[in-house]
This record gives sequence, C-alpha cells and structure tokens, in this order.
Amino acid sequence: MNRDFLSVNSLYKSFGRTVVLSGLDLRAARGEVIGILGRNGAGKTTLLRLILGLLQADSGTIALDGKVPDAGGAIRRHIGYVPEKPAFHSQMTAEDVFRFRSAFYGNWDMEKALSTAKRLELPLDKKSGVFSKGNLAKLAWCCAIAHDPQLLLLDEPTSGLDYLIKDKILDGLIGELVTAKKTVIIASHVMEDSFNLIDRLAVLSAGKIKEIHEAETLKAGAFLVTARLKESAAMPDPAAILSSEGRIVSIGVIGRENLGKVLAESCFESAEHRPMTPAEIFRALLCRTKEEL
Amino acid sequence: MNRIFILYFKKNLPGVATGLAVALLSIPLLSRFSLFADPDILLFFWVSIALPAAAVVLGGMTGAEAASETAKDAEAVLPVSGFARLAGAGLAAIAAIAVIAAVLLAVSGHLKHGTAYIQGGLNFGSAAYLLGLLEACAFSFVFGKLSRSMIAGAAAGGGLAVLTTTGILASVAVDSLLLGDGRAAYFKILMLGVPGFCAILSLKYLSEISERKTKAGLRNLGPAILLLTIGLIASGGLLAVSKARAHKLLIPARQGDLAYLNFIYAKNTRDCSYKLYENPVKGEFSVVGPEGRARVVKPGKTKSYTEFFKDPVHYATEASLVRGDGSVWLVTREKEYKLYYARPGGPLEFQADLGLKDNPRLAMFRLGDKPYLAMTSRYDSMQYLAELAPGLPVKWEFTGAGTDEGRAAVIKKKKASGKYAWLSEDKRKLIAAVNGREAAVCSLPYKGAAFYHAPLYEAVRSGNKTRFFLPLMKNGKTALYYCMPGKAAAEAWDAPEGYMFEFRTNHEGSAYTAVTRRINGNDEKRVFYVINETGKMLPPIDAGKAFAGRSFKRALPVKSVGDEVFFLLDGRTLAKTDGTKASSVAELGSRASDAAAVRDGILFRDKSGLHIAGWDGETRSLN
Repeated sequence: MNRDFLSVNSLYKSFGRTVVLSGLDLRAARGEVIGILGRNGAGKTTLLRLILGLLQADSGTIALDGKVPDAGGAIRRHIGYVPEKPAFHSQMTAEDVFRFRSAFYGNWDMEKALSTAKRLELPLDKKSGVFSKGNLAKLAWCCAIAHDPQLLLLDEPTSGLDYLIKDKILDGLIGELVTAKKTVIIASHVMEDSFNLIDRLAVLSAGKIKEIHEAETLKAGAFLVTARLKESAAMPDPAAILSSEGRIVSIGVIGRENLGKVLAESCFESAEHRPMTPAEIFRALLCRTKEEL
Repeated sequence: MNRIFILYFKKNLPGVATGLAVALLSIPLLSRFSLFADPDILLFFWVSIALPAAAVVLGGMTGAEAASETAKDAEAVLPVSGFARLAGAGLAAIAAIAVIAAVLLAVSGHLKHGTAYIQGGLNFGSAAYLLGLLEACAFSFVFGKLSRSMIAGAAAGGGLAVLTTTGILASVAVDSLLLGDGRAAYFKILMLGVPGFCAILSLKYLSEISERKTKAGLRNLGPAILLLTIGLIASGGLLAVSKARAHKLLIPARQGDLAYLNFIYAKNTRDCSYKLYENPVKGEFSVVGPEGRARVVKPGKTKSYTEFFKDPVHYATEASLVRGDGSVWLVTREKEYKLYYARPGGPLEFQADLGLKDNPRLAMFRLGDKPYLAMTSRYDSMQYLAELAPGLPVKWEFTGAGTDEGRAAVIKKKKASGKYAWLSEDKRKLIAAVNGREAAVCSLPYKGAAFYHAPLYEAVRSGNKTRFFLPLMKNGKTALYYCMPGKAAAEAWDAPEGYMFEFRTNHEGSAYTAVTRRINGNDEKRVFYVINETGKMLPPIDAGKAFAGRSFKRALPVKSVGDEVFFLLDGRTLAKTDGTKASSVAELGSRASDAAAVRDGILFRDKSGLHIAGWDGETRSLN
C-alpha cells in the first residue's frame, strides 16, 4: 500500500522545556483510517495541530499529498478537523456558523452542512453560546465535512455525544468518509468506539509512535493470559501486567508467537488464555507505555 | 481577512452606535444647563477626552478578545493565517473608531463653532488628530492581544501612542511655526499613520510566536520589536532633528513696536550693513557683518528636552539698533527689561535694568549719529524718549501724551540734529539747523511739497556730496529738486507722477525714491529715482518695463554699481538693470524671507536657515 498521502517525518516539538514530540514518524495512505492511541498528555492533539499548521514544528517535515502546512493556513482547506473542545462565536447560530465558514472554502456545500445538522439533530436557530458539549461536537462535525476534505483529523470525536448520536457518527458519517476514500486519523485515549473502523492503530508514547499494528492483527491475535505464579517466583515483565491479585496475574499479549512465549514462562504454575476485548487491547498497549513516562 | 474584519466590525457596531448616540444626544440634552450651553464645550470633551479613551479601550478589548481561547479555537481552524485573522480583527477596531471620529468631526464642522481644538473638515489638524487616534487604537489592540487584557492593552497602547505622537507633533510644531517649513510638517503629519500600520504588521511575527508557538528567535522577535518601536524611534529622531534645527534658527531681531515711529527705524535697517539676529530657542544673539559672516554677541544655552517642551521659544528682543560701525544696542525682556550694548566687534554687555512696568511699547532708532530709545506706556499712551550712551544711565525725557506729541518731539530732535531740513512757511525756502540755529539752506524756484508722510527732508549723502532732495510744484506738476548748502536749487528729475516717499539710503551710499503706479487694478509697479553710490542721479527706472516678462508685485533697489541698480523682486529674486535691459542674478527660493542687503550680498532666511546670496549670484549658507 502506498502510504505517501500523509507523511510525517522526524517531527520534533517542544513547549519551553517540555518535549512533546521527539522524532515522530507516521505515514498514511489515501482512504486509510488510523487510530492514534496515547495517554493523556502524550501529544496526540499537538500532532494534529502540527498537521493542521496551527503549530510550527521545531524540526521535521509534514506533507499532505505534497502540500506542506505553513503559516498561511491554506492546507486547512483540505482538512476537516473535529477538536476535542469545539468552540464557535457564541452569538452565532449553527446556520450563521455555516454561512460564516462558507466564505473561507471554495467548495463549501451548504446543503451537506444543513443535512448533516438535521441528521445529527442539531438545532439551527439557537446561538452556539447556549449549546451543550454534545451540540458543539455535532456542529464541529458538520463544519468538518461540509467542504469535502481529503483528510479528517478527529480528536476525541465522540466525547460528549450520547449513544444514538455516537452511532450515527461512527456508523454513518465516518463510514461514508471511508467509503469515499477519505483519510481519517482518530486520536483518542479511548478507542473502543472506533475500533471497528480503523485500519491501523498507532501507539503514541514518549513523543514517538512506539508501535503500530494492523487492526485485523490485533483483533485476531491479542490474548489475555491469566496465570498463577509459582510460590516465590519473580514477577514477569511488569509492563505487560494488566492486573494482579495475590499470585494471580493477567497479562496482555499481542501476537501468537508472543503468546507461546508467555505460556511457556517458567514462573507460572498454571496459565490460561482467551482473546482480549478491544478495551483490554487498548489497556495492554497503554500499559506498555507506563515505564516511559 | 475580510470576513474576520466584518465579523469583528459587526461585534463593535452596538458599541459604536451607543457611543455616537450618547455623544450626539448629549449636545441638545445638556445644552439647557449653563455649563454646557455652548456645544463646543461638549464636543471638546467628546473629541479630546472621550474619543481617545474609547480608542484605547476598544483596541485593548478587541485585542484581548482576539487572543481569547474561544476566539482562537473558533477562528484558527479556518484556512487563514494567524496574521490575517488578527489583522482583520485589529482593522475592524480601527475602522470602528474612525467611524465615530469622522461623525463627530463632521458634526463639529457642521456646527461651525471652530475653536482651537475642534477642527471642521479635513485639514492638518483633523488629519493629525485622526491618525493619532487610529494609532492609539492599533497599539492598544496589539498589546491587548499580547497581554490578553483590555486594561493592560489600553494602558500600554495608549502610553506608547502618546509618546510616539508627542514627538512627531512637537517636531511638526517646530517645523511649521518656528522654521516655516510647512512641507516637512505636512509630511510628518502623514507619518503619524505609519506607527499604527507597523503595529498591525508586527502581528505577522507575533502571531508566529504566540499562535504557532514558533521559537521566539531573532527571526520573529526582532522584526516584531522593530515594528512596534519604529514609531517611537522615528518620533525621537524627528524631535531631535527639529530641536537641533531650532537651536540654529536665526531670526532678525526686531527694532521695536512703535508704529508711529516706523518711518524712522524702517530706514535704520536698510542703510546699515550689520544685521542683528536672535535665536529665540537658545536665547542667543548674533551679528552678521557686511561680509556675511555671523558672530555670536550674546551666547545662549542649549535646552534640554524637558526645557524645550516646557518653554520652547521666547522672543526676548523688545527693541534693537545696529549702527553702521557694527555697534549694537539691545533691550531684552525675560523677567525684567535689560539694556545691552556691544561696541564694534565686541560682545553685548549689560548696561542697565530699565525697571519698566506694565509692558510698555519700545523702539530704537538713531537721529543723526545719536541712538535713542522711545517708549509708549501701554495704558495711558504717555511718550518717553531717552538718548543712549554706553556706560551712562538711561534718562527718560517725557515727550507728551499721545502719539502726535511723541512724533512732534522726535521731529523737533530731528530738526536740531542738523541732518534734516524743512520748508519755510511760504514754502519757498528750505530751512535747516546750522550750529544750533535755523538758517536757510537754499531758495526754491517753486513752492515745495512734502514727501508721503514725511514732513522733513533728510540729507542724502552719496559719493562725497550732501544734498537735500524734495518735490517742488513746478507748473502744477511735481518735479524733484535738490539743494546743496550755499548753492541754488537744481532740478534732479522732471514730473514724476503720483506720490513719493522720502529718499531712502542703502548701505553702500546709493539712495532712491519711487513713484507708485497701479497696473491692472492690483499690481504695483514703481518708477525709481536713484542716486548711485558716487552721487550720480540715474535716469528714471520703470521697474515694470525694465523687468518686463517677469511677474512680481514689489521691487526694491538694494545697491547700485555705476549705472546699474540691483533690485530685490518680491523679496525672492535678485536682479539688476540699467533701466533698459535687465538680468537675473540669483533666485533666493520661494520660501525665502527677511531678505536684507549687506555689503557682500543679500542675507535671507529659509527653512534651512540663514544664507547670503552674493552680488555675483553665488549663494552660501551661514549655518
């Protein structure tokens, strides 16, 4: 697969003395859906804002279909962005926001914006200053897709949404985007809702993409091993332990060959295994990043 | 940027409308109170106090709002640069203030109650006011954005605007009021728009640092700081240059303020080849000699910036007299009236405190070889005269109550000096004082007449001849005759038309009178009767014909060389003629003023200082 549609190479970014990204690499193909998993403060939002050109990297390169984000902001014509905390001018209604934003995009589709708003049950005549968190998110969604972007950046995209709307977005909107071969990057510390949509999952930790797995590989080859430790045996690699109670430990294992190794550990008195749930997969991946903090 | 501009302008509109409504309604509503009966007072408040305050508050508020997280999150995702976003918001605040200012200025103009502070219509004052206002708003926006605080933005922006504007306007005042350099002043007023524009431009670099979190290196911080402070730097620089120019200023020291004696001391400047100049900024006096070189006779003091702002100019001269040998008499007034004297080539030395009260009018002149100080008290018109002598106390002689008596006293002294003659009662004899006694100088073939406003005839000495020139009524027409003591009166020129003033002597000894003619209703052209430096009476010179093809209103003979006479046309062109053909010698420039002839040329001032144009046409600066 040609993963040159979005190319992020050796990206560095720090704020004062705090290093957020230290040599991050990421590539995505056109039409690919990538989930970026990371703990709070890992740098997910920073990465998205760098791709948008809202921040200037200290070093490294970013290119979207050959276009480079700069201070001019032109690249944002091709990107739809749903931020974690959407904000709009409080005196504007949803329809005012659509009208205001339409002037900035040559291919703004007002019909699409209005129909999406209707689909998501977003009131058009109330000022955004009185919107709930969920309605703000809905409005952000409408604005993100109305100009037919090539890339969508979603930062905690379902935060604040009720289950029904969440389903409409996940199954409906994102599904349509995928069908239309739009590239989507979903950044979240909770991936359960989006797991069925993503093609690959990247784990962001210590300023880098530490691991990247095909979603199918994770679905087929992620196991939870529950084992009983022998008396006075040393704990196995603590990074893999999801939970422990007395001598009973639960370990997340990615990949069948790793499963074999874990089951053969000499410290276990007994062990059994089963496929992990998505939540367990994500916990396991995040656990492995604990020591890097 | 347009959409952002419209967005923020619409946000400001309610404030604009409210502010204007309050300002305009206050005029009719408050006029019932005696304090505000005059609409000028209210308009003065709105224009001078309320509007500048509104400019910095609106700028600071809009800047703080544009920097808020809500605004950034709402607008930053749009495909516009951070600079365009901020510039749009800033320009919207500036436009809102411009609307309010334009309406208030138009209203004040419409009411046509112009005061020194309220300008109607677009003139320099309005332009300076408007540009200063917009600059304050721009600075406040930038600092409001940087500090995210309306109050901090307004305070910092307003302070920087005041500093920048003060320096530029002070420089404008110096240029236009002191140096007569209106063109430079006009250019500097337009420059008032530059600091505000640069402040908005600085957002290009500041937005990189504050919005995109680019490293605040020299690449961004340097240009940002430069753009924010360029106005201050320029303001300080312009003020420094104007202050330095003002310290080099040389203005002719005035001889006095007594109009009824003007017929005396106006002559005193023309026939003297030494000129006294004052620098009213430094309080310094200089004498320019016949060769056109300036010499300081009373040093002044360079003012500090504080002193310059507090008291930039003080014209200390109350009266002055420079004599043909280069000696100088001077009365100055700072707190007291002081008399000074400089012997030829020497400095001014203090002579006496005159102890005058109630701001009297003074003038200095000479009668013959004697210097006099005349005084009229301002409130009761009492006239006084004092003969001056170095090292001796000033003794006032009361000469009468009123200008007529004062003039009569001067005339009496003129007669006693032996340098003036007058007609006998039958107008057939010329009388003068000889050895203190009246005697007939000569008999006249016809009845004598008076020169315009001159009852006496001054002896004209040119070459080695001393003659009295006067008009006689010859067969019903005026003819110019001259008398020499002990000789019969002789005709000089026949039948000049119109009225003549008495002969005036130039520094090198030539003398002239003129007959005025009005041409085309307005233009005045004169026929000049000139006695050259050797005493030869030249053929009449019709200035209009001699300088045909040139446009001028006034001509003044300043020197003669043989049969040629140098003329100063409108104080700006030096030309010469023998009455038939003329040639240009030097152009002093359209801004030349205070032209005065000395031995080596014409002294004149322009915006760049004092210069001398030689008789050969070469001009050099005395600065």
